[in-house]
Amino acid sequence: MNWISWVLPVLIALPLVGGVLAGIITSDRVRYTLVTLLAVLIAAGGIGVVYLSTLCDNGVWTMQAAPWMAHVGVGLELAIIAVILIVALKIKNWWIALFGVLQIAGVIGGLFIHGEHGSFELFKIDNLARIMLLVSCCVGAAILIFSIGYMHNHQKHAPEGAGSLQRFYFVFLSFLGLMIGLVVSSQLSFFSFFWEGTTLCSYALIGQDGGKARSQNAVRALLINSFGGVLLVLGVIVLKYQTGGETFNELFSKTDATIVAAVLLAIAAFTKSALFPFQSWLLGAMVAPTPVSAMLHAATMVKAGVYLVMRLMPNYQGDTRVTMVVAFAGAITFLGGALLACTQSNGKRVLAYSTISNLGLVVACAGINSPLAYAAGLAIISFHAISKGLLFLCVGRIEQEIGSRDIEDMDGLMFKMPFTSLMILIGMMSMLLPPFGMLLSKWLAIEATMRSPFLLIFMVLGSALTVYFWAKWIGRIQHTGYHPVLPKEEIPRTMKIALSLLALMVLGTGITTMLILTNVFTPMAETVFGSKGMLSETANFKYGALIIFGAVAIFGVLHYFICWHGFKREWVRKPFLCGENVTTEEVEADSEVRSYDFHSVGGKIEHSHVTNYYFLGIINEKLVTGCLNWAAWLIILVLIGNTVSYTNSKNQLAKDTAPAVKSVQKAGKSAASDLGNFADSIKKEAK
Amino acid sequence: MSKAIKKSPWVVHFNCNSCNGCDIEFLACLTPTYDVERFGVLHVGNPKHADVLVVTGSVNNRNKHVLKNVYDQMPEPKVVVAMGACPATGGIFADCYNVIGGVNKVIPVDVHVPGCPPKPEAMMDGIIEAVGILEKKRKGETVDAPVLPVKVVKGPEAPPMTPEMQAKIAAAKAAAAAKAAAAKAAAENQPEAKAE
Amino acid sequence: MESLQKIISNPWVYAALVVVLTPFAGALLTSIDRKLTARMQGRIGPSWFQPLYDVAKLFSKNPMALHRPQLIYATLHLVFMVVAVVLLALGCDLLMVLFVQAFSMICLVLGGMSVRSPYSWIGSQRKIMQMLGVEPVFLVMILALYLRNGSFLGSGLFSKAEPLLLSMPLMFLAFLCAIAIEMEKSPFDLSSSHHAHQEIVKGVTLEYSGPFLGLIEIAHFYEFAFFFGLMMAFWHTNIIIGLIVAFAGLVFMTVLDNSFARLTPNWMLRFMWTVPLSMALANLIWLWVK
Repeated sequence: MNWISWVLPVLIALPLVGGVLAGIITSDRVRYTLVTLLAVLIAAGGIGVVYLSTLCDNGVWTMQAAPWMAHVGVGLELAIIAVILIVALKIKNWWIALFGVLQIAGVIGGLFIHGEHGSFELFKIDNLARIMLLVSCCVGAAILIFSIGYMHNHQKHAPEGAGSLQRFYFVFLSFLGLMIGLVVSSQLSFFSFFWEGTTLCSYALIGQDGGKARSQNAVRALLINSFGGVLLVLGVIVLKYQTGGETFNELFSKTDATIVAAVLLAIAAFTKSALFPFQSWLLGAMVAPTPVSAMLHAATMVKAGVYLVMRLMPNYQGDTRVTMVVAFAGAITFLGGALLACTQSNGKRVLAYSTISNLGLVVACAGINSPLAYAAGLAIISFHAISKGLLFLCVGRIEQEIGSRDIEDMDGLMFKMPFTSLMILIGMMSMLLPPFGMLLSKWLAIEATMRSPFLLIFMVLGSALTVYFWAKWIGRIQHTGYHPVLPKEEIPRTMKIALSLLALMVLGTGITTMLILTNVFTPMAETVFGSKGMLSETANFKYGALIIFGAVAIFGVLHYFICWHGFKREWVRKPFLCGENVTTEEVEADSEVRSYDFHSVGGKIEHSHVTNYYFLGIINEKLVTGCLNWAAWLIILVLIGNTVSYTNSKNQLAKDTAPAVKSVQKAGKSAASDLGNFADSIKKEAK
Repeated sequence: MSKAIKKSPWVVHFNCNSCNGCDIEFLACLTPTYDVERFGVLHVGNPKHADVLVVTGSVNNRNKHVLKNVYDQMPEPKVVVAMGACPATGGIFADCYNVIGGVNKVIPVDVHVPGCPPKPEAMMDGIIEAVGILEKKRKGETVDAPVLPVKVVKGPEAPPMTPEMQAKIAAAKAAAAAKAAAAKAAAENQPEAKAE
Repeated sequence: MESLQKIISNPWVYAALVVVLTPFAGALLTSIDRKLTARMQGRIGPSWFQPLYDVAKLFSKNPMALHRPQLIYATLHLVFMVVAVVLLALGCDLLMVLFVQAFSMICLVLGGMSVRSPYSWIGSQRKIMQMLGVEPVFLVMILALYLRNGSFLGSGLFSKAEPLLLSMPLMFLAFLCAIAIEMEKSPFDLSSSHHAHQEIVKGVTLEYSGPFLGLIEIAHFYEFAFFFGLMMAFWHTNIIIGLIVAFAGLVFMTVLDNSFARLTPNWMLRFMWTVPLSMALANLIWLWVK
């Protein structure tokens, strides 16, 4: 399979080079063609690489690199940190500068630690990387296509001081390329380079439209992620010091020694994935143009964090004391995100909190560290990416059309923008409807959480809250009166294609969820954990899925013919407003009067409007965030302290008990052989 | 089906312009003494769920469209029961400047229950009567609107009294007086009976 | 006799039987409930077949609606409720059964939200608040069942000889509160009261009428039977005692319904997330320690 060693570097280089090209080209038309072409190529390339890599032995493809490539990696890493440092100096933010200096010092310091100088593993594609590749390439490509129509409109009404389209596409495309590089690299210098690269790109994209608030949020994103970067570099140094190598393989081969490094990397991943207490940057990132938000939430950036946790955790199955704390950090985010999402009326913020919540769930799954939980984590990453990509793009489209992202303003959208509303409804239904992936993976996650009843409380409350905020939003969008015919929605072609593509992906994965779970994610988890048959019970559910589909299909057809097709105009009545409804003549006379308005005192015509319930005056977002942040910091401190004391005690224990263990083993062996002899003699006698 | 519709009349009650006398009597039907639920009658607050519309009070200019809307929002087949004197003719409010008259000026009425207020028994009887009409309507049979025995009289346009009418009124007054006397006598007799 | 048993044990025949017979069981339970309420108030009450008459009457009425999407949700509400009952009867994964049942409720909520009626909208808002209160208790109950049976399957319920109620008494109490909410009993009948005079009229089901209300009523029968079955499962070793336990639960709810006034949604949520949820969790931890 030499093909793939060419295709993969090309796949990484494609968006990077394409980004540079898009940055140079001045003609909008040519740039759009280029972006479309790139989107198609990236999607095709991603699927191609995934397919080719499955053909390798054991399904794992690796690429070895010559020793000098390690220096290239370090060079790249230093270069990108230097860029961040320059940015920090330019915006005069001394904290970021400090983190930059620390990182550079760390990387240079790492050079003095003697490691093995041989050829090393540069790229590696295994199951997890394949899932991430598919997510990044397919969802990323759809977002790219959408961005053409969106940015075209956006640029017309862009605020003053906004960056140009050249700048946008240069960063946007590079972002995708760096993410693809991130999920396949095995060598930690390269990994850090891609990691810092995505940080830098997100900074540039959040500040795309200029202005004080935006640049503040961009700086916050850079600050928090630089802090994560410092932890990452620190983790790599610890690893290098303890094992001498600097690829993921070394990390996993001697898990006893490397748990400290792994925990440092995991906390770095928390910053990237915007878990509590680092969530503020992701919420601030909502000021960016919508394709950026979609890219951050669905295809890149935050997925990088959970990817790292998912990669690390299964290798520390013996260290439940540490991994369980990680699971708690995830679970508190799951609950906190869902709780705060219930209090928001800003659509994009609801989506952001829901993303944070789901990322927390993935981290919790990774921390639980059982095959079932791992399969659930993989499923959530992929299903969430598709649904969330679709949702963000829809909200972006709605915002451009109605000029607001408030959920209350989306009232009756179904008959203003039928196509987009249908898409967003598909997206939201896929977050909570039974045969769809998100619900099934949440189901797996809850079943897997049985390992700890305390974790369970978070899971149970979080999952109840999730339903609450989605149901409210769906209700608001489809809240309409009677319209005999749907109006036709004017929508740019690229947006229509991108939304349809994502909706098809959602529906396709939704219908085949059970197959995907049992045939893709379960074997993957089993490979990672080396155990079999963990889904014997859940596999039983195939049957149940069949019943659900069967019943919905039968009743759906019946309903279509009786209620939908047979629907008559005469059936329609006005809503019950205690009989004070306006008359048809009044509606016809004044275009402002709606059929659902009513007469109040003195025959005045009033409009009835009820908003959703947001726990106003009960849950204070700031206060709750503060409490959650405090709890989350506490968990992180416990995580660090626990790891350090645990490693010490473990080392000590290993030293102290080594002779004893040996003698016990000896005794055991002799006893076993004695027993064997005894059994043999009995057998002989019996004969 | 026709048995079902007879066994389950759901009633919505609309107070047009009533003095609340009829309403209180109607609610008394739900109490243990009368227990209208044993006929399957359910008191619902919503015309969309109802089969029978019970109207009390006369119709005025402010509530005529409300009554019409409530009636329109009931699914077919449906019947209207006018409880008491007011929804029949306007009752004692007939001469008010704002009162239009009986309910049948706005919506078709199927059953009139006389009285001011009618007794709960009479109300229940009216609903059972209405249920029969409901079943006829379901079968598609035409139902004639009931003819009121009393001529509706209203304010300034009231026609001059004819001698026949005067005689009728006199007769009615005499009858009422006789009835009152009889009742008085009965009331006086009763304590005596008790004393014995 | 043996061949009959064989036919019934075929899962398809069994599922079909469950689908056909459950609404009748639910109707019977509903009329028991109504009769009991009437007797408690010193009335005779409606006939035993009253719920069936009501539904038959609703289907004989002319259809009336606000718009098309509203009707989809009525159908979905019924479909998912039927599926939940069938899955439960076939002994499938209980957590999945719960999710399906919850989605059926969400369909009702969405149907109430899809129309331009303020009463219906407020009813829906309260209904999701109710779900928010109920879901954690149900989830914890199913997880406790897992701890006890070592299986999430409904069929795993019968693996132990000891009745559930003995090891999960607190859970049963919490479960009763949750059912009272789901069945719209006072003091929790916030979203759609059975009584005519309340501030949001009929809440979520306000805008449904005629045959579509009939669909919701049938779904309600399924729901009643579903919860009654779950209550019976608390004494699965003996069907008579199981019936007694479930009937006691029913009486408890009727008494509750008749002796309490309605309270606010916020109070309901606070109550559910404190008292019944902690009872359920205490029971869970109890099982965990055991």
